[in-house]
Amino acid sequence: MKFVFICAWSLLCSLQSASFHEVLKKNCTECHNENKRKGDVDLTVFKNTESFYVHYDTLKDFYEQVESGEMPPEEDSQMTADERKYLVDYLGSIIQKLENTASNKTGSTRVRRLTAYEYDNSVKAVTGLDLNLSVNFPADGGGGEGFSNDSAILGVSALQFEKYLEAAEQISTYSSFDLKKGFSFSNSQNVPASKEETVAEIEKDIGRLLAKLYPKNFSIERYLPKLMKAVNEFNAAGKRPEKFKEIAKKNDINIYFFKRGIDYFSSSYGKGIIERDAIKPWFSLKQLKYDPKKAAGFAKGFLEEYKVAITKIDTVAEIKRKSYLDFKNNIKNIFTFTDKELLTMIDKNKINQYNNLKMTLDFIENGMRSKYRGAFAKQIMPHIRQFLYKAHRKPPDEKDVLEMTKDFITATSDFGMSVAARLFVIRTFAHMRFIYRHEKKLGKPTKVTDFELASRLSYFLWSGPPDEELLKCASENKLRDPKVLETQVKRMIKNKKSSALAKHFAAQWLQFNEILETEGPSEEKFPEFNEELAKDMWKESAICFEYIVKNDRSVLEILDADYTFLNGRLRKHYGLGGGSSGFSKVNLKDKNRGGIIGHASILTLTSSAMRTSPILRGNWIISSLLGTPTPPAPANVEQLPDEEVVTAHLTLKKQLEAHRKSPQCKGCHQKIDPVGFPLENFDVLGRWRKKYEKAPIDATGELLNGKIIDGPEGLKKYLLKEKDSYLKNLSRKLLGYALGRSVQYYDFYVINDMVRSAKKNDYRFSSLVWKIVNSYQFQHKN
Amino acid sequence: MMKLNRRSILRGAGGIALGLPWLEAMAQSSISQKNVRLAFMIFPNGVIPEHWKPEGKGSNFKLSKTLAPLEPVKDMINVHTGLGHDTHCGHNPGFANFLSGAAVNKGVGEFKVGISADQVAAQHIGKNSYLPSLELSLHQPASTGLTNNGWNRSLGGYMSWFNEQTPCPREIIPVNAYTRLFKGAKKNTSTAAETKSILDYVKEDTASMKRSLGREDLYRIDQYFTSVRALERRLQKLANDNYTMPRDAKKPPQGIPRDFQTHAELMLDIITLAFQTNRTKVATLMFGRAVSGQKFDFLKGVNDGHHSNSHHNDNKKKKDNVEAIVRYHITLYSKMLQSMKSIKEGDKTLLDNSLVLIGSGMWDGNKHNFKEKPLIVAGKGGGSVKTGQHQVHNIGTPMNNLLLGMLKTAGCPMKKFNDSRGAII
Repeated sequence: MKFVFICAWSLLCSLQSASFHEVLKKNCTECHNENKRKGDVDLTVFKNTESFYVHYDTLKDFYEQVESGEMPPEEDSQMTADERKYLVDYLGSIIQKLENTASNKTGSTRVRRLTAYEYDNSVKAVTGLDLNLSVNFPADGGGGEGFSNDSAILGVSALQFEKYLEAAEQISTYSSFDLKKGFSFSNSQNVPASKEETVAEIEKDIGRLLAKLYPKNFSIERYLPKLMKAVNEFNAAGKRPEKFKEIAKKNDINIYFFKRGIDYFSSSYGKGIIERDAIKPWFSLKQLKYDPKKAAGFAKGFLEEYKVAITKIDTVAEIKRKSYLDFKNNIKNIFTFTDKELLTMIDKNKINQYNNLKMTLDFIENGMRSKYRGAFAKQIMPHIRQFLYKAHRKPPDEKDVLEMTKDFITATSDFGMSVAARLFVIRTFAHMRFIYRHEKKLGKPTKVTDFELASRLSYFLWSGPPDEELLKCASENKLRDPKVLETQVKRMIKNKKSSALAKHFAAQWLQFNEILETEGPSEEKFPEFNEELAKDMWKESAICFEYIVKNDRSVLEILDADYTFLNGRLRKHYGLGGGSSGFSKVNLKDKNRGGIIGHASILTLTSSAMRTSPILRGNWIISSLLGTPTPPAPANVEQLPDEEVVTAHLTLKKQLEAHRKSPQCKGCHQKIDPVGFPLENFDVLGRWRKKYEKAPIDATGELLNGKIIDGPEGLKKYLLKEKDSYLKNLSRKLLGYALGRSVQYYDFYVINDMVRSAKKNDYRFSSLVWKIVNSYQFQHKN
Repeated sequence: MMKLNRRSILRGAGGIALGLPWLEAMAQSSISQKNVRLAFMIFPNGVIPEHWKPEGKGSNFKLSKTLAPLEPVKDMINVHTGLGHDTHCGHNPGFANFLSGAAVNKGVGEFKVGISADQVAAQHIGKNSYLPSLELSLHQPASTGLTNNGWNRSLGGYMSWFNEQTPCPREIIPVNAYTRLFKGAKKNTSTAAETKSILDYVKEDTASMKRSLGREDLYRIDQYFTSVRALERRLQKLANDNYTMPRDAKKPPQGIPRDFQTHAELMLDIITLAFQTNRTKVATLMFGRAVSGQKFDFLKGVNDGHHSNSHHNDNKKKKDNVEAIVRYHITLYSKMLQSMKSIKEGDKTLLDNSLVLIGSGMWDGNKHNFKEKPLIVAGKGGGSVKTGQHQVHNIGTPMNNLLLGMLKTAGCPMKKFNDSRGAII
């Protein structure tokens, strides 16, 4: 079917192209050729069928210029009416076909790194922390449809990599690792635990496990003297660590208990008066060169004291009672069993835990010499897998898991477990799979996987990674189910994270981001303009867009609305009273104000320093809002005065009208000026005014067809009439933003589809998103 | 040991203790004959030609009003008039191709600009330094979008180009630049061994990425690899390098200084210090991004942003404002040159051993003319450069002649740089 169509069409093209090229040669390419490129347009590019696709934008422009009669210019026009009609019909039919042909082209999207804000959001999703580390990164540029998320420009430089590594180290200082819970993050930075601290931690865990085993009829007479004998032997051997295990074994005492015993009998720290008195003689053994006989005697004495203490517990006064009780509890903690006894006493399901801890401890203490490497790997592997899942935004490659586990083990042996865990965290955040939005390429157009689709959705709607719910849908392979997909898209649009669309999409598309970095109006003339006011202006525009997105309202409300969002300062700025100081929805009675063209942000950034600029404003409307820009002004055009110098009879408008007579300027200014002038009632900072300093304001613009646009209210009516251009432009920008690349000719099918769908669905924002999400481009990779 | 001996010899002989940095330089100069440092600096929005252009030519010239602050170093500078690029270089493209004259592509999408002179220098004379080159700016690039003339606004944020598509990101926070120069990238707790492991990991991981990426994405992996290797090399140098900080060197405060003056002075100090300690031989500084609306209200009588003033339409007040702003930049430049002149390197000074270019992408900011650019080069490039001149060239002489001259003087083995037709220095 498609093949037949293309054949028929190329036949049509080739049949007619002879006369097409004749008309072109006669009327157009004298100026618009490769060399002259007048107005930066070269029409000799149209050589074959494919070229119409490739130079779609030029084609559109060409068509509009010929159709409106603007080209060729009057002064050298020789085009006959027939030729014009032929050209209009011919180009029109090609455009029609181009725009309505679904093509299975994905477009080239290179693997791209995260933008600065995507990076911060992605770090937050893994760590739960708002670290805002990208402030130190070099700023991202802009590309594609004018957005910083364009894949063509998002590469990594040496400086950028250093910043990533630094940031990864920063992140790691907030992390901790635990064999039970895995990786976790907290708000405070911490120092990695030393090997000794890790060992102590694990021993404590073992202790906690064993403490529960304390038998009711525990025979203190049997265990305590045995332990004390062993402790004395250890002391006699110079407390040398290497003797420790040997002595434990010889006395058949479990080493953890033995360690606790040694700790207990080596200081009086943490002991009450009664206890200290009881243990005191024991410490004199040092002078007696740890004589075993003496030691046995002291042990017996200590035991007696202990017995006395516990029998007295219930009979003594409160203060002494506390001391006795401590004594009892301390001794309870140092009881000791043989390994064999232990294993019979531990709960079946705890034995594993106990063995794991023992093997881990052995590995930590002995590193690569330990025979328990495998057991250690088994314990850390799930944690590594889980962490990578979050960081990679999909199940990690098992090869990666294995590789990183191996490295984790080596690093534990080299630097200790805590440092190893940190190195792993750093590595993960410096990994291309985290820093880049990675999609596995197969060398031909393929459907993206469910996980890749989840990321495409979340970076489009949230500027961040998928959340658990989305990942769950992907892991269950349900994301392709239209119902599930619809539920998810709707949920995501409603979610507060979709405010990213206002912050990053709308602010770049409508350019209100620039209000934060513009040099602004003249300080001298407009001292009331300051950083705070600029921020408020930005917020009004962002919140309005966010409101439309979250409540899935009509996107025409950007053109006209009977509400806006203001805080106290802006209310005052607009001459409205009342309300609280924070931002809230304000219903507008004034029909001139609602909609983006009444926003102080846009009105200010399209003004010159000293006066309003109907040209900048008009140009913003036709380029940014309607997407029908005119070619750039020729070099060395006469500049208008900087201030509202109103000489006796020549207002700015009159001056502009004069220059509109010049054939060089006319073509574009006939389009720009009529939509710029109706905004003259808004001053440089977007405040309402009725007159200039010395002259009345004429806020009317005359369109090419003679119709008059009167004031902002009239302009809004006009824009609503032009809604097709607006919808098409919004769709184009949103698609480019979603795909992270500039729009190509084969994307216009989707754009037209979006416009149709919006019209059928009350212009709801979600209807645009839905078409993008279901497009071939969004669902496939190249 | 050697070092101690040499120092005592120098003390004994000249009676003056030389700073250790110079000793390091001497040690290096025995390896390569030349030790020329190159700096390239740009300020936005052009100049007021009648106030910029000096009277007279050759060595017989009088400094103009704008250039008056250069009086103390007049014998160390060459003012070049008449040089420019043959390609379009308005505001934004004029920043992007200031150091190459390359044709810049319009519109959105991937950048296409040529490699810049400083990056050429980084590849040749910079490759053995701790940092091959240092890129500083006082402004971040503009976020996004196209200008009314269809140029990508981000272009005006980048004067250094690693290659055709890749602009070198610029450091704008002084303390970060300082730390990067003098402590390496590492400032956290990791030890050298740990850092080595991390870099090994990253290399391993990057290599494993090759399996799953398409052919057209391989260059992104290469980019990543290159970046990792660059850091690795630097860390190795960090371990071997035993430079000494001059006693009066101070670490800049945290964050971006709020006032322009402090910010600019810190950046210029960092370049001087980097040259003095030989941590890098190539540095670039942007005093602002293209179309900068920076306010200079701390200069007497100057209000409004830089760019809006530059469209003066022959309004005297505005022209005076621009002149004052440019003269202010020249004052900063002059201070830097004086400080470089006061730093001794053997029987020469740091300024003798450097070439420091300052200029703007356009001539008259009101007219956006860019065939001719305001340019000054200071320093003797190791001794071979005759200074104290106003060199007047025929209009249309490529600025690349001058860039080639600078590169050759610094020891880059090249015969041509883009459209150069012979070398000027």
